[in-house]
Amino acid sequence: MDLADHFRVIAHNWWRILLASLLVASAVYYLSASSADVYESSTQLGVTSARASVDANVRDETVFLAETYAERASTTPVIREAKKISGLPISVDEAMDRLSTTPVGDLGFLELTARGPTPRAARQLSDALAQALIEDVNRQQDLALDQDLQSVNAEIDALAAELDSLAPDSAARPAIEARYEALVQSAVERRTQPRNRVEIVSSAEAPSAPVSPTPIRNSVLAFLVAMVVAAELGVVGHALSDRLPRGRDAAAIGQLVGYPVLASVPRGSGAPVVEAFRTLRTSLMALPPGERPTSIAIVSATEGAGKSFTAINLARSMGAQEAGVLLIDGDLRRPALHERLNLERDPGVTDVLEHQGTRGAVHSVGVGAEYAVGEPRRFLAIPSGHPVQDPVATLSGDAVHRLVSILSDPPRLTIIDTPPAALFADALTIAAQCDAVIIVLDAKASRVRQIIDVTDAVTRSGARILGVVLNRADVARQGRYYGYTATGR
Amino acid sequence: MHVLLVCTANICRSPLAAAMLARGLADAGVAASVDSAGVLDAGRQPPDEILDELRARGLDEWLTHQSSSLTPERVRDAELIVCMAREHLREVVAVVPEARPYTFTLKDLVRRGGAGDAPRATGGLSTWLAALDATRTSADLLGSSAEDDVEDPFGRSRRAYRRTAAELDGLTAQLARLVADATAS
Repeated sequence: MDLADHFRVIAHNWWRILLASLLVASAVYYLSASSADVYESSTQLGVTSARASVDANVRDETVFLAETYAERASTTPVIREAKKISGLPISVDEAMDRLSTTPVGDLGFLELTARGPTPRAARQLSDALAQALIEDVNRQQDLALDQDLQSVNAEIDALAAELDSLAPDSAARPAIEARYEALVQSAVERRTQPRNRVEIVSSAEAPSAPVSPTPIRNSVLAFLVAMVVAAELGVVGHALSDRLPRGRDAAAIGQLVGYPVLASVPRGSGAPVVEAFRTLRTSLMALPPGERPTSIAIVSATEGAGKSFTAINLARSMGAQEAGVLLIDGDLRRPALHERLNLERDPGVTDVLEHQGTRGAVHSVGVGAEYAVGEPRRFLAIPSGHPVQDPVATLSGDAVHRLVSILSDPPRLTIIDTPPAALFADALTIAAQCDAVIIVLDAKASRVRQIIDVTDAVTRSGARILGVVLNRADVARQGRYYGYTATGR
Repeated sequence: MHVLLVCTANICRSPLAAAMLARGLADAGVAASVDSAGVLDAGRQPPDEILDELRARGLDEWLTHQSSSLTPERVRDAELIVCMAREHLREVVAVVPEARPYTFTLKDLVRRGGAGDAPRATGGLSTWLAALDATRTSADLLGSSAEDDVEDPFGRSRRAYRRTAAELDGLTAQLARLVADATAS
């Protein structure tokens, strides 16, 4: 399938695609609109590293610190604390689901975002997380400082104890006092050193509108996605389909089934149908004299493709043009010709073939006003006759020849209707006795696989397939040349 | 020499192709009369799109064309019948079966004519056509084929008319060369 075919299939399916997409979009809209509102609130934090407060060029460290704090803000202890501060009646897991923290840019900013069922809940949780993170960072640094100072403090305590135990005028006192002073001084210095800081830059505000659901946006997106998916599914379905291609391209259908389309017959009756059978007749008459069939079996794979319809209309069309056209009902199982032509079913084919007489088996039928050209013409018809047990046995051998030979003048063309070839051997038995076979297809119902099975079987039986007649076809020509008439022939 | 071009209504493809072929043959120095016919009823004028295509090519003497119908006499009078599609070929042959050796679709004739021996070598138009006919089978006659049919623009967009006109430009030019070669003594 090339690109043009691809888009042709899509264009052909446009209303199905549109319908499916609209359905999906409305389902998404409904689901989305009926889901609970979600509000979102954010707090911005600024991070300053200890070294950055003395040296402005340590941006990398600030960024690294912001990333570290973002991770910290996602840890369970911090979130548990935030939950506690917020006072919201939610579990830690829920709080974790509602919270997210991301570093913003590379200047050391953090954005804490909280979601909640109300604007207030979102703001509270966001603020609480900011507070919890700040406290956590401070506590950690306090802890580190305490650890750092632990040995210094121990020494200070030891020196203080030693001083207490010394006599006020002890010679060792000045040295120990100096040492004590120095240690206390260094402890103070260590405590007043700059620290890493996290501060609120902008506090959370209660959002005015929910961030979700967004039914319109969701349904528009769903519509677009559904359009693409439905279009492509249609293309795949078409590629896998066993149906005949829709549309009016008889050449394409001919190529697919391997035989030329001799006529595309529209549904119904009247001028377009007559015109289609005129086309079929012209195809037969255009064949070189040596190749023109004198007997044609009308075959289809299944019931209902329009075999009897085709056989009768071909007989009418040919009969209008020339004398000596004979129509035989070879469908001994469910014969239809006698009813459609308003004849008695028997005597007919079975009576002749079982040597029960030929009297009354052959009828003369008018071609009908719509087919008549000039003088009224007639064709001959033999109905199926009485029902028989074994139609294949009755029809085998030289049955067609024996039927034809009951006429005083050999017919110029014999047309034989048959039962469905996919179900019964009768059709092949008859086809093998004819000069040519016309395969009848239903443009809407026939399946390519079935058609190929039948054409293969007919070819194997030794019969020559002339081409196919496409019933219930979309016929454009009548539309485009509406009001024009064929020159009388 | 008389050439007949055939299409459905004789208002689009065949009159345009006839005008083009007539000029092509005249330019090649072939004394020929070129005429066209349709399989539908007569007395209609080509649509504006066809008149525009004729004007664009300076083929103004063909602007007064009125459609005419295919008759057995016209088929018999022609020495070469060029059909726009297989369906027209069948119509011609069904009317006058003897016309088959000198009736071709335009595309098929140009293709076969271009592939075989040089027309001049076969000894005249009718022997050249008969030689080409001998290579055809009845399968080349039945159904429809994009390889043999010139697209019918009637009732379609202006672009379809332009596409058909452009295709006919090329095909009629090739046919004029082949016929000129076949009739050269």
